[in-house]
Amino acid sequence: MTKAGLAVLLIIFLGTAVMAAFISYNLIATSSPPFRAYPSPFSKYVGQPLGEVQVNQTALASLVVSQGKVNGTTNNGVILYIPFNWTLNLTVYN
Amino acid sequence: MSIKDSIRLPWSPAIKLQQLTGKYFSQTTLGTSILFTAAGLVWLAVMGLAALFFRLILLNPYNTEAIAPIYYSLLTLHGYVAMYILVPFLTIGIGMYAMYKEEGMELTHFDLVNVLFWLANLGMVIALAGGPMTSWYITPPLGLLQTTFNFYSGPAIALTYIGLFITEACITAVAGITVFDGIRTRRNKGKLSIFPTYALTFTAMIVFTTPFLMATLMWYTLGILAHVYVNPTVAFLLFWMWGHPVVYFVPFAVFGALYAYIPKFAGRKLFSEKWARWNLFLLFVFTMLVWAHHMLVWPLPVWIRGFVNASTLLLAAGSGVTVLNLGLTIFLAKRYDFSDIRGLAYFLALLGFIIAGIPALILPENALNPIVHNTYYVVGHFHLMIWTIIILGSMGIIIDQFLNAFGRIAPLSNLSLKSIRAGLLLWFGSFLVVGFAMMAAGYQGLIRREIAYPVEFLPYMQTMTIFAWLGGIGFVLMAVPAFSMVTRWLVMKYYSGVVEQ
Amino acid sequence: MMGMGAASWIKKHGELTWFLVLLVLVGIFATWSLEEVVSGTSTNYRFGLPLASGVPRPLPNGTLVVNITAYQWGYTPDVIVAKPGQPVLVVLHSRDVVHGFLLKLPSGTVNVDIVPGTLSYVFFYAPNTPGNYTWRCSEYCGIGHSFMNGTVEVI
Repeated sequence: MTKAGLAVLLIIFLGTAVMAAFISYNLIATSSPPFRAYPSPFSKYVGQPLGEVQVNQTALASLVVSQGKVNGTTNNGVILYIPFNWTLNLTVYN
Repeated sequence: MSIKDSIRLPWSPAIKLQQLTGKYFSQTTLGTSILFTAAGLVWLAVMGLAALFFRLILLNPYNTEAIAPIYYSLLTLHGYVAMYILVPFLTIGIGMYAMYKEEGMELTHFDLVNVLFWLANLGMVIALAGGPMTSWYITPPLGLLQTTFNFYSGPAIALTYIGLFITEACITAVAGITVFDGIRTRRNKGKLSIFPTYALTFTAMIVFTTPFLMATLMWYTLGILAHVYVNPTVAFLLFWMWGHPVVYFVPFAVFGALYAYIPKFAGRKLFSEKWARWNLFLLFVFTMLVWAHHMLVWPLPVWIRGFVNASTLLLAAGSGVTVLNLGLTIFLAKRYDFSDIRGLAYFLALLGFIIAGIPALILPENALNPIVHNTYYVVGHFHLMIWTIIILGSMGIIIDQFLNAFGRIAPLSNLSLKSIRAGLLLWFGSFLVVGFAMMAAGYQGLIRREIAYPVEFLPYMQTMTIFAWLGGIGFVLMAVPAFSMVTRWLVMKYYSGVVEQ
Repeated sequence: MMGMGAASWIKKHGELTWFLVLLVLVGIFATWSLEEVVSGTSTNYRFGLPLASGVPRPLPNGTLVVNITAYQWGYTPDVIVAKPGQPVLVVLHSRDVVHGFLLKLPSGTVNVDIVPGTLSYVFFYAPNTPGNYTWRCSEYCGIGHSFMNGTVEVI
């Protein structure tokens, strides 16, 4: 059993533990129902969530010929213009 | 009589060329591997000096735009040299050395590889000659603007991308030749030993991933010369398909050396050869799946975010298994031989990899990435990786190479050994401070690539600059003795006619 | 009998066992992360992803909608005046190169990139404490990158 080896293992496990705590702290601090005001992290929430509904989604990708040069996100997907007049359409259906 | 006999020239071009290449081209696998790693060290010195100078500029939080061209030119040179030439050269040199040392595998296409080596360097010089200023990530559309370049203008700005294309094409070819020749010349039967397994796998990864970069470069060239539309999101995704794997070329090749040699310095066998070999598949496959995690603040769809969040964590697990394996090897040993400078270098590389890797766990987390994206936190993380597993790991291998090639007729003196040892420790200690200063500042909001910043970050910048210069001194302490070996060997070989066996 | 067989199998195949155990643990964490992101409970939704899909529907009453254009090297407009606790939706557009928008609020950090040809969306509640909150450009965009900023004035 070498001291160097012990140091390595301690750094691995303690380091991971510290990082897990750091990440947990940040996750809690940034986690709140997204769409309402609240005074500070770690406090309880008052009120009703605003209308988020869990939906099942299917995704469809297609390559089409199109003249439009605008990229965009729309209500249900992403449009990416790639050269030579092709457009990549990624659509998500509810 | 043949035609050749009837045409009498004072000298024959073919024979003259053969004499020149015989004299100036490397003719052995060992020599070629040193060509690449030594060239890597030279480029490292260049980009390191650039960094030390731009870090001085950053001591003033109130810089104006007047200083911007100098700062960003140095920064871009720093980044270009590091990722486009230093990293692949080190990977290839390590791959060649691993296969030669552990398996007796040899290169056969020496002339071709030497020509490609010099062309790769020339490509980088062409790229840098244009004075690329503000776009070392070649982010589109910034990288396509006139104002991004100091000296190239108009269609000539394509020369930067053509230069880089030449460099990357040559590097890809050399990597392919290395793996191909090596496999062909292998005489041993059975499993390939662990160092060449890792080193050659990641040399081969150069061949798999650099074409994506080359495609991006070609797209930019067409964009500049033929006005083809460059879609920023698609081009950036294409770039990162190379941009992520490239960061693993050297670290995972070095893993092979750590697996092979840490057990030797620990005086016992590797804790688990099976973990090391199974891990290879995990690392190879997942390296190529996670690249979009560099773009979590871009307007990318949710399913991409989820995929790269999860796949990056799986990839991180592969690194975790590696360090656990090596940590247990050292832990269960009776003693670790720190007296050998290679043993010290490999240990510091392992330790550094752990210290650099753990703080990175926050980065692929989709929810937390915005806190640290494009701040000094990221800069701290990846530099800690570079300073430790990449540079110190490579130094261990390079010292091994040099001792192998030059050790007999140009051995390292005691002073040299002490100097290298001091350099390794000074480099490691100093850059650990720089890395943590960067991460602390970044978490609090210091944005990267700025020349003017909120004055509350000044103490961090001062700390970074001072300790970076100390680390630079560490590099000198390491590199001077190493290069003195090369110089003495060259002098002895070319001027004293001493021949090493 | 079965128990004895299993224990001795694990002892014999220790490395495989531990490798699989570790992989399963990581797989669980990774799947959980994936599920959170895809289902929308991932906390990034707190400030909205830069996608339109991250914006709450319908917008809360009294939301201040601001259209900002980023350019080399500034923002138009570069001031947002909001009431404490007011919901704010910022629609970001770039006129030239990729820019960033990094705003550190007491309740967290907003950080999105503004990609030319695509709109980015940022939704947040203005802090309850009055004051000035500065946003800066976080994506390297040229020599004026350090000098692009704007202010959220909460009064």
